[in-house]
Order: sequence, then C-alpha cells, then structure tokens
Amino acid sequence: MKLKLENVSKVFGDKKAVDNVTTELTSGVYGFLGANGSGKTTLMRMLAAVSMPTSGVISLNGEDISDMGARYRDVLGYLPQHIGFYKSFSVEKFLQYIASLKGLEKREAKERIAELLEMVNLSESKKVKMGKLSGGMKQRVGIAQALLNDPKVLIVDEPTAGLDPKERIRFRNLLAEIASDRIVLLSTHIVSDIEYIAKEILIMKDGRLIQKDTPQNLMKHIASNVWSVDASDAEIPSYQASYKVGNITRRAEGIDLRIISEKKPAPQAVNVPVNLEDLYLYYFDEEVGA
Amino acid sequence: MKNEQFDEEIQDYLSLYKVDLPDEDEMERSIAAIMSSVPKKKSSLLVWQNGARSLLQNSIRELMHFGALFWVINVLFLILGAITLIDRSADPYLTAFILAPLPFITGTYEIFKSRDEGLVELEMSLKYNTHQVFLSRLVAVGVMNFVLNAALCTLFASFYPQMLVVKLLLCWTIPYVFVTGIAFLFAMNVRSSIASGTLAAVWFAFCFGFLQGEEFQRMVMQMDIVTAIAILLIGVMLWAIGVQRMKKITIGRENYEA
Ligand SMILES: Nc1ncnc2c1ncn2[C@@H]1O[C@H](COP(=O)(O)OP(=O)(O)OP(=O)(O)O)[C@@H](O)[C@H]1O
Ligand SMILES: [Mg+2]
Repeated sequence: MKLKLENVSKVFGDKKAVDNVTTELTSGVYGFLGANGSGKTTLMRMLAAVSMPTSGVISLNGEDISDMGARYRDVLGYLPQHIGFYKSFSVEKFLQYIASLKGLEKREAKERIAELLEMVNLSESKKVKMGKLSGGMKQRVGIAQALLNDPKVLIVDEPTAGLDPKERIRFRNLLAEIASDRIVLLSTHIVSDIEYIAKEILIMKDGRLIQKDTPQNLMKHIASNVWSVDASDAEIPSYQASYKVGNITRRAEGIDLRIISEKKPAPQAVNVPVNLEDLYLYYFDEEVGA
Repeated sequence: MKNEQFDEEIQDYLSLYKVDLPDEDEMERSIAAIMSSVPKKKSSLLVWQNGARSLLQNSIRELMHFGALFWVINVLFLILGAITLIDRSADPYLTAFILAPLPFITGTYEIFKSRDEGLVELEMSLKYNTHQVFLSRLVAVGVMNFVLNAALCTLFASFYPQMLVVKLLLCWTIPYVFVTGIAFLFAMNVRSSIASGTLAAVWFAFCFGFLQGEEFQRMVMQMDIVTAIAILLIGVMLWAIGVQRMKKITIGRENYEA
C-alpha cells in the first residue's frame, strides 16, 4: 500500500498553508511534528479527502484519491483536530451511528464497537451521553470512531490532546499494534507519543516538509549539536538569550543546562546523547537568536 | 517445417534486443492514466438503483436518529389537526393550510444539525458523506411531512364527505412545496436552532394575519388552478436552487473550512 503526494499545495488567499509537498507513505506509523500553524492540519485534511489541494495530486496505489471518492473513504479512518459530537447520543449510539455512515452492517458494527470500547477503556461509559463526557473521554470516542471500519489509512490529528498519561500509553500501544499492515499518520506536539513507535518522523515548517526520516537518523543528524553545560543561577539568562536552552536541571553541585547549538556554547560544555525533545527544539524553537 | 525454421530465426533475432521493463512507478502511472478512460463497469440503471436503495436506507436511519422534540411536536400538530375535526366550526381547508409546512419547519433543525454541532469535518471523511447525509435527512423530513399531511387529509376527507379533494390537496401542497422551499433556503444559511424557531414564528404570524384578513384569505382560498400551479412551480424552483446550493456546500467542501 502506498499513499503518494506529488507537489501538493494548499493556498488560502495569499497564504501558502502547505507548500509543494512531495513524499510517499507506506505501512507503519508516521509521526508528524511541526509548530502551531506549520500546516499539519491542512495537509492531513487533504489526505483525508475533506479538502482538495489547490494544486498537486494525492494518490493511493496509483489512483487519485479524489477520483476514488467513496472507495477511498471506505478504507479511511480520520480523527479531525476539532470534532463535534451529538450531545444527546450515548457513546454507544454515537458509534453505531458513525458505523452505519461508514457502511458497516449492524451486527458487524456491534461486535466492533464492543471491541473498540474495550480498547479505549470506555466499556463502562457506553451508556453515558456524549455531552456528559470529559474532554479526554470524548477524544477516546473520537479515536474509536476512526478505527470502526478497520481503516487501511488512518489519519489522526493530535489524537492525544487531552489524554492523561496512562491513556496516552494505552493509545500508543494500540497504534503500534495495528500499524503493521496499514498507513498511520499522527500529528502531535508531544514527542514521547511517537518516539518509540514511529517508523519515520515528518517535520513541517511554514508549510514545507523539511525532514522525513527515521527517528534514529534525525537524531544522528543533530548529534553534535546537543550539549550539557554546568552553570550557575546567574548565568542562566545570558545562556537563554543566546542559545536554545532545553531542560534546566538543578543538582546539588549546581545547575545543568541542556543547550542546542551548532557550536560549543561554553568551554566546559560536553556533548550528550540526543533525544527527540532536542530534535523538536532544534527545528522549532526560534525565539532565541543562536 | 518452413514455419518452424522461420520461428527460430525470429527468436534468435529478437533475443538480440534487450527490452527495458518499466519500473513500478511508471507502470502505476500508466495504469492510473488508463483507468480514467476505462468505461465504468456498472450500467447506469444499476448505479441508479444502488443510489436509490442507499438513499432510502440512509433516510430511514436518519429518521430514526431524529431528536424526541421533532416527534413530539409533529404528533402535537396531528392531534391539533384532529381536534379541529371535533370543533365543527373550524375550516378544514384552513387547518390543512396552516399545518402543512410545520413538520418541515421543525425538521430543518435536524437536517443541518451536523453543521451546527461541528460534525461536518468528520462526516465528510465517511463513506456516506455530508452530501448524502443532508440529502437523506431532507428526504426523511420531506416524506415525514408528506405522510403526516396525507394522514390529516384522509382524516378530513372521511369526516367531511362533501369536501372538495382537489381544493384540499391544493391547500396543503402549496404551503408544503412553496413555504418549505423558502424554509430550506433560509435554514441553509442560518444556525438551525435559530432557523426552526424563526421560521415557525414567521409562519404562525403569517397565519394569524391570514386568519384576520378576510379579503386576503378569500383570495388565497379561492385561487384559480393556474395561479396555484404557478406558485407550485416557483416552489419547485426554490427547491432546485436549494439542492443545487447544498451540493456546492457539501461537495465543494471549501465552504466549511474554518
Ligand atoms: N480555512 C483557512 N483559511 C485561512 N487560513 C487557514 C485556513 N486553515 C488554515 N489556515 C492557515 O494555514 C496555516 C496552517 O494551519 P494548520 O491548521 O494547518 O496548522 P497546524 O500545523 O495544524 O497547527 P496546530 O499545531 O496549531 O494545529 C495557518 O497559518 C493557518 O492560519
Ligand atoms: Mg493542527
């Protein structure tokens, strides 16, 4: 299975929200990172066939998805970043309703819904009205509906927003489990969501896809740019003014700053192993004038 | 014999040539290119049948998911209509006229609720997407309205054997088609919770004025058939415009990007 984007752009007025993206996705989890407004949602909406590219073509196994129409939607699971619910429907009724819009048979839907409610840990709340759920619970219903039709292409836009840490881990495991034979594209601002399950990470910046590689390669790429620096309280502001400073850790013997910089920030600085947080800072933290 | 020799010769000759196999990408591209010119397998009749069947199924499903309020109000209208039967002084033609567009007016809330509850984005990604959902709700409400009116008219006709069936029919088809056409266009552009209420208020206000103004009332009730048909045609036109615009909203998609 292959989802292919060729020179895909989306223009709103004079704003290029997505700028000439060309890439290819096959089975596995793709983590989608990018600062606010970088174009993640805009691109995902086009992949979900909810919005049409201004120019360029998106194709699944060689066929333009806008020509596929209902046949594409039949193999698609989509969780929008912002989603509404019918407040008076119970969780179960809502899922049954969506299942019927996805063309599932009643009996088939019933089994699938029970299974999914178990997966997102909502079996106990299935009779609760949607309007009475907490934000995180609604989000989990959103995840469940995306999986109803056992989609071959799963597009989830910030699915972990509002989930507590336990549910985040549950969701991560769920994705890792199902991703072997389908395309999963997941956007997030929380790098630990994708650190271990993403086959590749896509990085968007100002509408352009600036990186697409395995987490290992991306981290290797910036290996020499991550430093640990011993500093005193008084020195912190000056470091923050001239470098991208990540974690600040207080120790008994002083303060340890994590700094992202191409050149060595201080004589006592030492290179330390890279993690994905560093990657995020490297690409997105721009306030400081390094 | 000669043929075999010839074959062999050709084979030798051909083996001198190396044929480049196209790579996977190239093959896919050619397949995609050819696809578009391959005639569609299904006959148009079959497509039509399938479309009609899924529209029917979807309409029934949507009808079953309408809120309790819709049912309560509509049953209330039916009862109201029946009550005027007991009160012999009431004019059944007028009753039919006033009640005719009400089920639809209450139904506008249901037709566009996914838009107002923020579900369109999700709906558009489903197999039966927003366009089909709107259309099937429209059919559901329209048919519901029709059934209720028909029930009421049958009731009237059986209670008043001397009633003019044609006049009765006109008395409800005119508001049914014309007023719902306006209601449809209005609801498309306004939040549905506001639309239903506003429309109902406007219709009741109109009916109240209608009941007061004897002259106008007589004019409408004694309308000649040509004028009636003309008004019906305008109603149908309003509907055509509405459906066309709905298509633009739900298929053109971009209107919903916020
Ligand atoms: N319908 C629209 N009309 C005009 N501009 C839009 C529209 N949708 C998105 N944009 C613009 O396109 C850019 C990309 O937005 P998008 O929502 O894709 O970002 P994002 O990466 O998903 O951000 P976030 O992390 O906040 O979700 C933004 O500048 C946004 O203002
Ligand atoms: Mg977004």
